[in-house]
Amino acid sequence: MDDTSLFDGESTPDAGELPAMTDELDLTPRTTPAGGEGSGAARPSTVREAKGPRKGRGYVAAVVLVVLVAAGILAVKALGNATLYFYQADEAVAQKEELSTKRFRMLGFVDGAPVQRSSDGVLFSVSYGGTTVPVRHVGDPPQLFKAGVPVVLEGHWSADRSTFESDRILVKHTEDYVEKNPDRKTAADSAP
Amino acid sequence: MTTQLASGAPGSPGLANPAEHGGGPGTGSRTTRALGVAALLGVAVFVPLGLVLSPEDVMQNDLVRMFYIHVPVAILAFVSCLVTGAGSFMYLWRRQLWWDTAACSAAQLGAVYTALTLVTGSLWGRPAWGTYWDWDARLTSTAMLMLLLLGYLALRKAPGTADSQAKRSAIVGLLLVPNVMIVRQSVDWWRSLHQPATINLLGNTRIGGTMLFCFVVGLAVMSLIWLWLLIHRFRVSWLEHQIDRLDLAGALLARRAEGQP
Repeated sequence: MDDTSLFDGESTPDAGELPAMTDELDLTPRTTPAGGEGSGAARPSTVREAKGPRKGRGYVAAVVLVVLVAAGILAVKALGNATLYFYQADEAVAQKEELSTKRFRMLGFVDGAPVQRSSDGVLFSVSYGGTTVPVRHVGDPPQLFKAGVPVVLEGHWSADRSTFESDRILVKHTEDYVEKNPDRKTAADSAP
Repeated sequence: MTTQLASGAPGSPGLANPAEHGGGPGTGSRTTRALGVAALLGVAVFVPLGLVLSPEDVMQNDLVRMFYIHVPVAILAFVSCLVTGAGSFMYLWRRQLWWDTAACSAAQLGAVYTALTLVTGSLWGRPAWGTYWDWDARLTSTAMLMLLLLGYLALRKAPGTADSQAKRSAIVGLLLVPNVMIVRQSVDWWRSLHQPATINLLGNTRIGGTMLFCFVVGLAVMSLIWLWLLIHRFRVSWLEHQIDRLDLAGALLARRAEGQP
C-alpha cells in the first residue's frame, strides 16, 4: 500500500506536465497522421521545432569557433610577453635596476679574450649590440663552448651589479652551416 | 602514385583492393612496390652521403649530420598535419568517409614523425646546446603539437557512429593547421634557443653546397618513405573500414532474418 501511494504521489505532478511532454515527443516522425483538422495546424509547428535545434547547433559551432580563435589570439599575445626567453646582453645592462638580482636568461657572443679558469668554473665576457658583460660561471661549460659562439646564460646580476653570475650555459647556434675545409685553417679552428 | 591517389578518390576500388592491380595479397601494388624499392635505393645512397661524404661544420663539427635527418622529419611531420587538415576539410565539405580515413592515416604518421622530430632534436641538443630539452618557443610549441596529435588519435577511439566520429575528428583535425603554423613561425615570432630556418625557399639558404646536397637527398628519400607509409596505412585503414561496414550489413541482414516468420 505504501508503494502505490508513493507512486501516486510522484505521478501527480507528471500528469500536469503531460501536454508539454507530448509536444516534445511530437518531434519523432509519424508514419500515420493523427488525423482531423488538428494535425494540419500541428504539422508546421513540429517542423519548425525540428529545424530549431539544428540551426541552434550551427550557432553553437560558430560561437565555439569564435571563442577558440579569440583564445588562440590571446594565447599568442600573452605568450609573446611571457616567453621572453632571454634578454640580450645590452638589454640586460640597460635594465639592471629592474632585473636586480632576479634570475633571468641572457644572450651574448663569447668574447675572443682568453677564458680564465677560476677555482669552481670559468671567467669570460659576452657582448651583444656593442655592450660587454663580464661573466662568472660556476660549473663546466658545454662541449661546443668557445670564443665567438652565441650563448644563452642562466643566472643573475651580482649584488653590486658588476658581473653576471651564471650557473647554466646553453650554446645557441645560428642558422648558418659552414663547411669545414680540411685543407684550410679557419678562424674558428684556431680559436680556443 | 599521386595520380592513383587522385583517381582513386571516394570509393574507388583501386586503393581499397590493390590485389586487383597486380599486387597479390596484402596492401602492396606495383606502384607502392616501385616506391619502396626507390626508397631503399635512396637510403643506400643517403647513408654514406650523410655519414661520410658530408663535410663537418665549422661550429658543430659532426653534429651537422643530424640536420639531414631532423629537418626532413620535421618537414614531413608538418606535411602530415597539413594533409590531416586538408582531409578533415574535405570530409566536412563532402561527407565522404574516404577523406576521414585519409586524414586519420596522415595524423598517425604525423604523430610518429613529430615524436621523431622531438627525439632527433633532443639527441642533437644535448651535445650542441648542452641540454636535451628547454622550454623555448619552438620546443614548447612542438610538444603542444604532439599532444594535439595524441588527442586527435585518442578522440578517434571515442564511441559513436562512423559519421559522428568522423565529424568530431575532422573539427580537431582542422586545429592542427594553425598549430603547425605556430610551430613553423615560433622561431621568428619569439626569441628562442632553437635557431631560425636555415633552408628558405624564397630567401637565401644559409648552408654550404655539399651540405645542401646531402639535405636535399635526405628530404627526397624520406619523402618517399613517408609516401609509402601513408599509402599503406591508408589502404589498411580503408580495408578495416570496409570490413566494419560488411560486419554491420551482415548483422542487419541477420537481424532482419530473425524478424521473418
